Amino acid sequence: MTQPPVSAAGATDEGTSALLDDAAGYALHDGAMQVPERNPGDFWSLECRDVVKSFGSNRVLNGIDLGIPEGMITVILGPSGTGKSVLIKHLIGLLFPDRGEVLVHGSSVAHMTMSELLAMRRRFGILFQDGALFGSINVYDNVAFPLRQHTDYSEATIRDIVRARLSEVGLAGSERKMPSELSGGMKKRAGFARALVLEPEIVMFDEPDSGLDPVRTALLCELIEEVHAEHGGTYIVITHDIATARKIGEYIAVLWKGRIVQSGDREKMFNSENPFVRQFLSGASRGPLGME
Amino acid sequence: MDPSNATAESDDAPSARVDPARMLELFAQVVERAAADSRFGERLALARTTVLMQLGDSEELMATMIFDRHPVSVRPGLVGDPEIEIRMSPEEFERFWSDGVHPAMAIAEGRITYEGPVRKILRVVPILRRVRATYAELGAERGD
Repeated sequence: MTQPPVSAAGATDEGTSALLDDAAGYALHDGAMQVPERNPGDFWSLECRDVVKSFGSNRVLNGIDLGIPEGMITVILGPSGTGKSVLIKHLIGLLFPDRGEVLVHGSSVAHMTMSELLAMRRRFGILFQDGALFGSINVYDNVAFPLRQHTDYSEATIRDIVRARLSEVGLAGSERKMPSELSGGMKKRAGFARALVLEPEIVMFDEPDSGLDPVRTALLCELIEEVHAEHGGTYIVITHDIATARKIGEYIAVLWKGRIVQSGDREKMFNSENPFVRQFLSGASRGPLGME
Repeated sequence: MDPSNATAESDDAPSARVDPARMLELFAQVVERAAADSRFGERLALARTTVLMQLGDSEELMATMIFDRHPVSVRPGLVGDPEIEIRMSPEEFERFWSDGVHPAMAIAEGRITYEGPVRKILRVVPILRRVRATYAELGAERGD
């Protein structure tokens, strides 16, 4: 990719436009892994192919090409307002693209029947920013909820699973607490336990570091790594926090203005020559990323 | 799969530090231990697949990962009709098994070639890495 001019923050329209115009000439973004598949889903866990999404005149996703490899922790990293939340909703079939397609294990989400879509969503465990616990029931019942909704397990089996998952996230003994009695970090861990109970193949974390101090963020990152090592599968962490990406991102994709600028393994990304990626990952004020 | 790709990089790569046949043997032993371990056994079977793994071009360096049932196992040679075939140099296997390098990256870079839904076995790679770390003493006992 031709390098755009690097300019001071706040005076970057020309450089920004050049970078985006430059990227627009490529079917695949800089550094994208290209793995030939005989059948869709042979290699990729999830794949976005030229995904475009607009709301009115606001184009939020601007041609996303992204493969998410199986068995790794992938971090999708980007500044605020770059389309991260909209991308998540596409990955789990809550939104559908205006153009392009999203494949989950090789199947196009847009072409799934409702029953296929529901089955596909069961492969996902999702940890929302605040844990998204039901406020009127205790931690145990929150974590048991998906099991009672989606399985015919006996209460004894559910108890074993819930206790195991709560123990795994360090909440053994907190079963009877109400969500209002939990700290922000505990809510996230309870949400994590709930995301795991159906043994999902893909676990997605929406800004897991939001509202946490650096120490608790680091502890949560360790927990995510630990649980991934025990369970396997595809973990996707959506964040703007560079420290989180550095700590747990085995594969990192940088999103900006609805487009993936670059993706690659951690070492490659933190040694990137791309001016935007370099600026963003180093937290520098000078570069194509301004205050707009 | 083009077999010529599988070992294309091995000419430039350093030789495996451990005898490849012993690595495969150790791999099978560690998986056998893990299969009986309540922390790992059932989760490894979530791969729900079978894999023929070949190191280099030698048919003697083949093993079949039977991960479609509990307990999982690794058996020498070709067993049955595996759903997936993966081929890599002995050095690449060592990078994964001893150094923890993720095989997805090696596939993307062409150092590991595959046929079939390789994603299924990649799903449990993190668990295999944990298993390897847990049973590292097996290699140490053998002087590997």
